[in-house]
Amino acid sequence: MNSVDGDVFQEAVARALERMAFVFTAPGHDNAREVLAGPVMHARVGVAGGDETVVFCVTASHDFLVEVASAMMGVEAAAIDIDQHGPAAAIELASTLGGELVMAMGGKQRSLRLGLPRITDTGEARRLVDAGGAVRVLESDGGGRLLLNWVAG
Amino acid sequence: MNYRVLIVDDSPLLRATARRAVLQAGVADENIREAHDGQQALEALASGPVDVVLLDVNMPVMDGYEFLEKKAANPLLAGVKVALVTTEVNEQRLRGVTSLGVLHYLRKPFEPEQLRALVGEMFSSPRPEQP
Repeated sequence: MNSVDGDVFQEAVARALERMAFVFTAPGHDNAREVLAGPVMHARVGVAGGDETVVFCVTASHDFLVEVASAMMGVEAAAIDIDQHGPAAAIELASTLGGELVMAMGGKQRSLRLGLPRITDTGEARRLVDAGGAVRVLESDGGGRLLLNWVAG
Repeated sequence: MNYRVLIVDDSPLLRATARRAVLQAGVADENIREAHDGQQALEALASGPVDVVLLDVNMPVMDGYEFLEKKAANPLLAGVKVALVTTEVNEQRLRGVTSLGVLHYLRKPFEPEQLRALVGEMFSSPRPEQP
């Protein structure tokens, strides 16, 4: 868990977002609590291997989810229904960026397993942030915000 | 182009991205089918011919590894080409799937052009050897 360099992981996430959805990000100015207080959705996924387990949670603003969903579906942002497509976008972020976390944890050589992502609620997302793990906030060119939180399970 | 492609992924967004890339590779829309998991994929293979499967690994109900084992056990499916399109990076597990007939791999996340190129490469490559 401590082997993950947060800055390196954040850069990997930024590259991943560019590849998967042409979303360009930079380190955000808001803190985790400010992101959690907005209109957001959350998805979490577990990483397990050996005696190590990590919970990875993504919290994305509705704006961010619309950016991801519209790019991946190849439609205009106005065509995205946040209630219909937002959860799928959040799940996809947890899955794909969870894969980046596995990579950052040495998953090429270590037998780490990424679980199945699922939607979670603000209460659990807040508890995970408060659990003392690592936190990063990214902001997209379009103003969307993405909170990454990973914590030993 | 008359190739028939099956996209297997539990993510509707990923399936949409993949469908666009396959269309851009020249495959007719009616020749592209989708499945949510390995079980649905086996059912799709049983219901009609498929040339190429784009397979995720981490899926509910039946994951990509179990799908590959069941496909390998069915000689009628030996000619179906499979590409793993997945977040999986573990070198040992990836080596293991080559024995199940997987010769192509694309790590998520990918750019659509990478998937389009992979599909084109699969169309021009020989079919897996019969057991």
